Amino acid sequence: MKKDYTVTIIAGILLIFLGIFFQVSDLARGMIPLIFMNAGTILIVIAVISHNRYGAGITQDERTRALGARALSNSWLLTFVLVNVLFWIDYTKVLTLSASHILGILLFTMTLSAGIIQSILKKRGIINED
Amino acid sequence: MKTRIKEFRARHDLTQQDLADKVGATRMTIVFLEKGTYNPSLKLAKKIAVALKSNLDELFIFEKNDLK
Repeated sequence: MKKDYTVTIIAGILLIFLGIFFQVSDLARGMIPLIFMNAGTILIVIAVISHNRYGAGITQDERTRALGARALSNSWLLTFVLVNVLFWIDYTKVLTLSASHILGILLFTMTLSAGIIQSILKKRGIINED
Repeated sequence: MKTRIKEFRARHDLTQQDLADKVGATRMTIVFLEKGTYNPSLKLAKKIAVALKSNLDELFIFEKNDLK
């Protein structure tokens, strides 16, 4: 297994143990132990999936980096448009939106759109056409 | 843009993965390069040319419309 994946798995295990420690010792209450344990689990899952998919091979190159950057910039643009739409919806009182509603919508949109755009670009392969 | 990467790769008996490992790219990048749907950086193009013991003009063929 590549060193990067091993480090990620160790970090994940540490986070899980930290979460368990917080839970048992009562140092932190509520969601904090759960957040640590979830983050640890996610790190481990990502490392295992990456190991299965790429093995010891190269995981990133100029094309995949450019692709990620393109996806993020498109996602940013989409979110910017959405922020404008949400502003006018709130301003014209079409809907009453709380801060947590807006943050939730933005978080969801940014994450999902970046992922979707990246997968579309990956399939097309063309990322630097004129 | 057309490329002759596939032809040169076959001459050197290299798989797409072999070439990808040699030039520090992913196999999919080689796939898209061979299909002509990805324009590589000058650095990657040169690395591929060196790996295939060729030169840029031989490997990457530009037609008039490509340079417009």
